[in-house]
Amino acid sequence: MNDARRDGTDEEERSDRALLDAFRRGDGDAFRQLYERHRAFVLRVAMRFGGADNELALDVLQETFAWLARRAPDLELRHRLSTLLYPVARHLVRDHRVRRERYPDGDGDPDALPSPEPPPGFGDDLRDWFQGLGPLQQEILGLRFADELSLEEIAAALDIPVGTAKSRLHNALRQLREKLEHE
Amino acid sequence: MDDLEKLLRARFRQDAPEVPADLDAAIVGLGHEAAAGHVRRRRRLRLVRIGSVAAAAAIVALCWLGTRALDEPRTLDVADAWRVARGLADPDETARLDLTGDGRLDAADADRILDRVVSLRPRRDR
Amino acid sequence: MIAFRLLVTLAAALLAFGNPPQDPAATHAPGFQVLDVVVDTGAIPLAAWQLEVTVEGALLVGVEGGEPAAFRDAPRYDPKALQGDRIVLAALAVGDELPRGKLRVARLHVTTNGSSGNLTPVLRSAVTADAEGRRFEAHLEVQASGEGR
Repeated sequence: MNDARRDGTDEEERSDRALLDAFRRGDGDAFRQLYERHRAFVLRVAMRFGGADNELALDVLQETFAWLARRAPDLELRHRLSTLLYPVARHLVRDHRVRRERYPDGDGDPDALPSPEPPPGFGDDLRDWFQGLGPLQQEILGLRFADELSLEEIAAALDIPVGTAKSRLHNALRQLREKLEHE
Repeated sequence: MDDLEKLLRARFRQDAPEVPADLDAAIVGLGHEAAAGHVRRRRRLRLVRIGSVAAAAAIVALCWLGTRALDEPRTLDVADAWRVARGLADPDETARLDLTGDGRLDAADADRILDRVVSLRPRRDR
Repeated sequence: MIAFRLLVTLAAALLAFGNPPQDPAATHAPGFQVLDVVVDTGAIPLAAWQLEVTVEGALLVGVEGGEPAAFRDAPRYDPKALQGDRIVLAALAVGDELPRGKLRVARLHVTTNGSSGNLTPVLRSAVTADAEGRRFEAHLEVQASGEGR
């Protein structure tokens, strides 16, 4: 996988850091810029994990940025802000589902973190392949192709080694390639 | 980018909901309040949307000074059950701990929390 | 509310049970063993505890309460745990008289096929809470009871 196309990442990363620093120093407009920059990302993540539920996505959006406002003094940003917002949004989806479903009788663990779901337009031809992958691979694919994160950022968002992200992505793509060649 | 990646990029494209202007304004306003120090670092904070997004700005105006809790995502444990059983749980935790869904925290919730704590239902590890 | 993440030091005691088998047939005879769940809180009163235990090579067949009055009733557990080797236990005391120090808070009954040798319980997900519901660090272990048969 070629990451050269992500040359712009460093600039944005610095900028996220600079904005976060400015926000900590009392610059409210810096928060606005961070919000506008990462709003779409948080919505995508919430939609992906929340079953394309618009209302849930909006709830998660506001709570994710409320978290950011509250926790900004403690945050250490090593990559783009999205790598920090990703696990927060995912946990918030889970919390909303717990609240909504209360104590379901099924076998699912209400405390378990949700798995990503492909978007409605994903297509039946690829859906089986996606659902046959492990949850970590599914997350990696979402971060890579829906959110366009680099491997380093994916690793940071998922708190896994870069090598793991790379190999899981490679394996998933190989499986898909083989599937398409046989069809 | 090869064809496969192009294909996946196209398939993963997802329509996101349009963010109502008042919610945008409320969140940005929250940032300004926080930057001005009105949302203190240790103060718990939560924005509350009730039903319609249209209500968000008004609710946020009431709540962004830190009157409601946004709990850290955390699995329920026996200490939660104990606080609920003793009536010592923070009212701001109601959303998280009210497993019976009746809007209050009582012994029945403590009981449910304990049930959940000891449940052997598989937890999915990453 | 001030909440402390629990960092519990876990220790699993190596368990040696019974006398060596006298003949090959006895090697695979079912045996019952009793394990004590022990919490050492030091000077802090214990209001609640939970613990996940896996005892490989054994089947859990029973759970009973502990020694202190506050934890005399059997702790909460998932009934599906019986006839398996993994169980999550949790108990809380809402009275004012809370015990402290080294406490046997529960007892587990297990069966082995007689060839299991030393059982090594694996402990995880331990939580202990004090009289204000705050999590605190305590020492937990699961050890062979003097009442093993």
